[in-house]
Amino acid sequence: MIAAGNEFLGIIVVISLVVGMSKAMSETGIDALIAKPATKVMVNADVAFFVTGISMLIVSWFVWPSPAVALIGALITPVAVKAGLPVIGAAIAMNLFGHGLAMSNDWIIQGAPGVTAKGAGLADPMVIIKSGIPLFLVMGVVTITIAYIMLKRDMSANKDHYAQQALNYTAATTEVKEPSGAAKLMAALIPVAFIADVVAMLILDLKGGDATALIGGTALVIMSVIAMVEFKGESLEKITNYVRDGFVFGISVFAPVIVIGAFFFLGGEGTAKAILGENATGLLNDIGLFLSQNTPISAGPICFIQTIIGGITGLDGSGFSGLPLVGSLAQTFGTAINGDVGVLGALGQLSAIWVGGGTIIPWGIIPVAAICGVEPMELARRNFIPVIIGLIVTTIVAMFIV
Amino acid sequence: MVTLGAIHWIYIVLVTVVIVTMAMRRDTVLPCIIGLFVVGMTWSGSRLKPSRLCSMP
Repeated sequence: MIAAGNEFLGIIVVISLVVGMSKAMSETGIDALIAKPATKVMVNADVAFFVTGISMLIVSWFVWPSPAVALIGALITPVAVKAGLPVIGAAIAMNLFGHGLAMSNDWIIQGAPGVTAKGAGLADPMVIIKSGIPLFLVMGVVTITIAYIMLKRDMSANKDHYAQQALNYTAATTEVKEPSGAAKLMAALIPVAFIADVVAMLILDLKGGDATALIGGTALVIMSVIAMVEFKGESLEKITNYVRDGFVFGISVFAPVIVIGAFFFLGGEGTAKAILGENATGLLNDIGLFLSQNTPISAGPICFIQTIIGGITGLDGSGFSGLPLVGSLAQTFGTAINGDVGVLGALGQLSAIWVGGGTIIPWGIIPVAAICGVEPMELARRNFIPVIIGLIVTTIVAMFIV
Repeated sequence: MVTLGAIHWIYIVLVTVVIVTMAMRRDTVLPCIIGLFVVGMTWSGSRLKPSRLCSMP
């Protein structure tokens, strides 16, 4: 469990800092000022759902989902919730669009397709990306439509509950004093700071962990500046409070996840070594290989087995750990049935990323859940059915085009 | 050729339990604790010495 905790510590710290910053922002009324222009666009819950999702999609393509979560969660989600979207809805939108859709094709950074292509013995990741386009589209449309319909149903079934929640949310964030002049200046500078972050990520080629760290650092600086200009003499004590509140929240969200993560890390090769000792092997990878050796060689079963192996290797919570395996299997299977290696690789990659990258594994989705203030397991449960149906439909489509 | 040992089958069963728990919309912390315990024991048992999982400070 200590090993699992270490894996998560980086993201816990960043989430805690961002939460601390948003506390400071709402106490000074800065968040309401920033949200004002966006409020006009998000007229109702439906628009809010897709605006949140699509902004997440775009940012994730450029800098990967984890920094995008911190960014979108701090700036756009509060507005979406005020527009009537339940927090769980915002979390679903961010998770499916970012960690699912954007990450599973990853055509700008090409991290995921690069690994898959290497495993498949293809020189150019674009092969995986191009032949995967129909699959990505099918997966995205099916999953997001189902998730959206389920959300709408739930919203009309529990109308009162969500109305109350929205009211509480608004009440909790607007019982503030009239924003001061300094607050107005900060409201203008904060978006600029985050945009500068995104630019810096692109120029310096930062992604994943490094980019997330940059967001965390920015949040810390902003929090300090807010405390200093708004509370002057009291700022020393105020900032301690913000940091403490942020970490209390961060740990309360991550505590169960560390236990669950520890169990699934036993299956991943790198993490199992940290937990069980040097000669541990990746149980999940072994299982994937075993399955592949016992598969009848024809298009149907092979497509299903690619999806299942991708899913299994994604269970350790890292979508990437399974990619070399699905890549090399795509090559083996593709030659065996005279099919398209690119399509098979893309299928395995899609499954590994949607499961592990992650939209249904609780320890993969925590950042989103944490920033929206919902239970990670609740979010995983909501995503489970849409993602599974999406994967099945995508697999069937793959059988025909392979 | 990879062959699956007892530890793999135990792990598959435990993972299935966790996924079923998730599908039943219940929390998965307890099954995971049991899973950690059982896999840890199986692992250290098959190597006949305590693993780091069991000897954590």
